[in-house]
Amino acid sequence: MKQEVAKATLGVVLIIGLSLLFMWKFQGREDVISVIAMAFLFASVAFAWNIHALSGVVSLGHAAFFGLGAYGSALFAYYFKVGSWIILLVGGTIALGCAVVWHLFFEQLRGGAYTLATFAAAEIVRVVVDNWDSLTMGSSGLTNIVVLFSGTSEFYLVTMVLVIIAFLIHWAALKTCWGLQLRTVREDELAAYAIGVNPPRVRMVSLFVSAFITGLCGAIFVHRVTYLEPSMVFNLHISAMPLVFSFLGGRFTTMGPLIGAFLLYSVDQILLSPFLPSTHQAVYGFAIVITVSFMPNGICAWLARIPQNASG
Amino acid sequence: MEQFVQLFIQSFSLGSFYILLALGFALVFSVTHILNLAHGELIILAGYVAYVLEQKLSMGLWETLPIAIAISVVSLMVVVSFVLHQRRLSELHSLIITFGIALILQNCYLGAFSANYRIIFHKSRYFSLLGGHVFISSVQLYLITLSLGAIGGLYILFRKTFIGKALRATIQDRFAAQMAGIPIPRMQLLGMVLGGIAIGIAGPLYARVSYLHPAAGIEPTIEAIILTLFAGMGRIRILLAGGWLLGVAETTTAYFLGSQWREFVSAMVLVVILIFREARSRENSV
Repeated sequence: MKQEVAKATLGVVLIIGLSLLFMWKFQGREDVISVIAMAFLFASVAFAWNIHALSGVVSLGHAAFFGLGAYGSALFAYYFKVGSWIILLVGGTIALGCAVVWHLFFEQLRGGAYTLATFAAAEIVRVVVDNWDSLTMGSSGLTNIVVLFSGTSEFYLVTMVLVIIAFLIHWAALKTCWGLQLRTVREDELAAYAIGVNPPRVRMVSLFVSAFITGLCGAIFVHRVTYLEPSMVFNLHISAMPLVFSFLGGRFTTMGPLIGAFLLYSVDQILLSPFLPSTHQAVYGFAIVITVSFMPNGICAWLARIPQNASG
Repeated sequence: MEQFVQLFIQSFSLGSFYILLALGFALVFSVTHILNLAHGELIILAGYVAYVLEQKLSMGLWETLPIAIAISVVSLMVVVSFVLHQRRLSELHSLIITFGIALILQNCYLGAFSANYRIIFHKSRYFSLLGGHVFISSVQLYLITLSLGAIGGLYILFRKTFIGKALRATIQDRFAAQMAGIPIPRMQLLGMVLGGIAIGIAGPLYARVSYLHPAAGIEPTIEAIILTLFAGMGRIRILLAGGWLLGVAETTTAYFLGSQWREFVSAMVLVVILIFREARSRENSV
């Protein structure tokens, strides 16, 4: 255990060190700093998604949490005229509320059925937000949202702190006692019941943690971008991103989602988007297809030579 | 009274439309156990092909159908063969891979056709029934005839031909069929071809009924999944009943609450079906 804690500390130091290095190296280039900050943000979403995936299910509906965090936070600030950072927590809590509903309805489902249900659930949330005009302004969207981050550097530091927190919680979900419980539930539910681990409770906790962090990220996202409409946060792409990053980077490694996010998001935004302005996001589809076909355990696992049958 | 008949006609044609959408998905799922999340995108592909043909060459519905069918068969075969050649094949795996393919296709449409909403403008002729109070449009007639035609064709194939019997055997129990000497890869190929034909018929109709845009594939996929899961594998008659019931549910919702809540109803129905299915299978296994 001490070795794992030491590795986690090393990971945190590495993240801080590299981010400060990037910040110094690209000092004048606001666009690059902004891309890296967004990569941190979506890496946090990927960490959060993976925490839920570690309980043995694949969710295709995390856009619901992201969007509810964004909408919750923005609408709360609008209706209650609050401008401080507390609204981020409100966003997270509203996403958590959605997760409670998910847990109530989807608790019995497993495997392909759960994935389909989450796929449909994201659609349900989108249609509700889109049509409930009186509350959410519907398709017209929201503008002039409270700006919480004055400048790219502040946003960069905020997302760096966010990704470190997400990384630590993700590390806990892999290497601590909680991580072992998750692994037991993931691999053999009946055996988990036999040992005394409570699978529904374990799955519920992982879903709630995952939803809260994702909602928080959605809230941070919207207060950076300062305008919002349903198709921006409730689309398939936002659901796909954490899945692709986690699969690409390695679902069962501590740094995996961060590596996946960094590689794919930066490559997509910096290299591909200038050349293929409309089609560049197809690379996410390619990434998921190639990863699942050839390296189901991701890049990090391939580098660390984890045997193929460890935690499939 | 006329309102009920009108609602009935709307439900029937909408239900027939959903059945057409779901047929391809149900066939592929029954024969290969693959949940093809890119199904909607393939329908949209056929729709875009019909749109382009109509814009550039002014081809009508009946001329674009063969071309759309050919393209759909080829694209479905590419997708399904790719998924079938994976090392580990479970429902979940096929979901994720076809999800990735759906992402790729969506962005290709975005690049090729931009995000503009497109529709094939079809000047419908309205036929009046019951003394002029109830109307049915030509598009709705196309929907009903084409879907009934497709169902009828499938029925004849399944019940009256030998190859249909072999296909039914593959759907019911693949290993027993293999022991009886039925070549499974050939049956899967046949399933893909039939599924492609269904998609090819659905696409050009979709382009006339609803708007084409890159993200339009999600709705047909969800409708198809609803009907297929409701019907179970290979049960075409229940698929029909489910389709028309869903048409009734959505039409009445649109009538009373407004058409923007239609997608909400279909997604909710899917969730309910998934939960009941799981509850039922739990009862059966315990």
